[in-house]
Amino acid sequence: MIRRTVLRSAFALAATLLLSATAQAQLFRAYLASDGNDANPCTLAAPCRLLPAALTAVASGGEIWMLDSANYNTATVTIGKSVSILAVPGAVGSVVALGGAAILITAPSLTIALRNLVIVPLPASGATVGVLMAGASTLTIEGSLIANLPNDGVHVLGTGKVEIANTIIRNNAGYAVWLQNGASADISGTKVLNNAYGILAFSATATTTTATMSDTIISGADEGVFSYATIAGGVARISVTRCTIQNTTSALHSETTGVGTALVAVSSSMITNNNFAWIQSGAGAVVRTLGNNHLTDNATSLGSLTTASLQ
Amino acid sequence: MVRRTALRSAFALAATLLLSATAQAQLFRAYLASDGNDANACTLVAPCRLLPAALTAVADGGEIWMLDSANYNTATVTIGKSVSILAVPGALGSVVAIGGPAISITAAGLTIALRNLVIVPLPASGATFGVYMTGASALTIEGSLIANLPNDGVHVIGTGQVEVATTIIRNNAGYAVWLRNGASADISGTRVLNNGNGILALSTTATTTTATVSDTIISGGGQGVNAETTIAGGVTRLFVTRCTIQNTNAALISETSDVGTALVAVSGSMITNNNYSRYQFGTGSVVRTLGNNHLTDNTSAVGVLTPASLQ
Repeated sequence: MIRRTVLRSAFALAATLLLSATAQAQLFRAYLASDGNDANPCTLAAPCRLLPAALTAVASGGEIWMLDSANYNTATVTIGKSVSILAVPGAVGSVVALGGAAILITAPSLTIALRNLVIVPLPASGATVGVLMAGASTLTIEGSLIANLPNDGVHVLGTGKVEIANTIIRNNAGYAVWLQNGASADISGTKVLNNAYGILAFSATATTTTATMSDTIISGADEGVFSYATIAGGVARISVTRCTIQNTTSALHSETTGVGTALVAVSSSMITNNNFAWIQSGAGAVVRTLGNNHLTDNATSLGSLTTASLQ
Repeated sequence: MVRRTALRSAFALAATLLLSATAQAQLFRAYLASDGNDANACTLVAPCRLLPAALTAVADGGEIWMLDSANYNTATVTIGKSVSILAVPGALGSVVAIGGPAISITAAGLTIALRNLVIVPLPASGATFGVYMTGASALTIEGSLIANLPNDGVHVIGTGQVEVATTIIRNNAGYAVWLRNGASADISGTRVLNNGNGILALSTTATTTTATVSDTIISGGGQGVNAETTIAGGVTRLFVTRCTIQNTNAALISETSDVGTALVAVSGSMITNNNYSRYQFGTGSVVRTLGNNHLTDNTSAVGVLTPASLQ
């Protein structure tokens, strides 16, 4: 820590000078470090150790920087303000799930970004999901890893909005991404590898739940993408483009219980080496192909495939 | 600092040997560090602290290296010479917007690159844009993050040229990229997420304003891409390929005030889950599809879609 101690001393003055314009109770940037202390003010010169302290210290709309590689929580981290949490490039910023979710968002109307984080469970600790969002907030997850959880990687309930970019979600025992009852997701440039299930859009209430997936790989799961509606007025929709779905039990799955609407629409994608290329089941369920997909070498399929024209 | 001090000593001789050919008042490479000092010479052994000092020290056509994670400005940074500004890989090079844009380019004829930077606003500081360019210069933004600004992420007025590659532009309250009156942009491999609006090409003078957008995701916001012309002789053109535009109010907008021309041309892209898939309005405005797009599950559309053949 010699390097950083010197850096902090130099910074003590600089930070004072630089950010004196924000001489307010809360910080624009709160800092965490492996040798920090939660009794500190979470400044660069005196960083804190764990996320709850930094979340208290940071202003709404501010940032939390993890300065070096370490784990930064000891229990579920509840985020209750708009904030970006990031590990500086070159550091592993770990947030473990123990006794519940690693990260929990229940408040509405927040704008939250998680960047360059690694989210895994502490084994045998009662860990559940990686990120659980029940509030109608906007969450971006970018350049992160979400792995090995005993339940879902990302679990969104209600009308929250989630953007997942350039992230790896792998080896989770639940869904990589679970979206329910009004959630909206955009997933791009992401690798969804060997989870028990892939991406779910599920409406059990009269809401519209959507996922748009681009430039993403889903490999090895029971479900690839799954749109599921179980109630009248419920709509579940997944749009897939420039993706690969391989080695799943069912790659494209659209299902209703005879009520509601479920749709999977796919273009410019490769669907191969799956057991079911598609499953279309229940009134109001549609699997739609735009006619430019590579669907080969799947064992079987169930229900009908609806074609639509490119425009 | 032990590590870098040693590195600097080793470099002192090497730099002398290597760069003696450029033994001039200004440096080919100027260095910044969190423990630098603006009274220093901005060399590797004696780095400066803030961008203005480095911009003074660096030679035209040179580079500014940010050596470690920190913020490197205290006010708008005006770039008045050709230069590359980069954070070394593994460092977070922050430039905040305070009392105006984070970075301003008003001079013409420059070649400027911004690489591996993070541009965000200091809240409640009167911050406006991320990058503001009014000079007819050539600007490249690569591998960077531009987020949370109260106005546009990148704002270009006049005949400047901007390349945006592999960058995330998100959660800005204005446009992700605003181009006006002769500007030309190329945007590739970029994530445009949950901004107030996406990408605008606007001609309010008799100029041609263009943007070419490839392999890019636009998610959320009022407008996806918008070509808008308000004067006779004005031309705006937006080309979109291998992109996804989802969950916006209007994905493809081409609009005139019945004078000038406006064009949005789209190929190989998915346009889904928007309110308006297209909005073509005014004499001289065209939304052109090359016939290989996945346009589904949008609520509505205004105006006509003009087909053209792939070749």
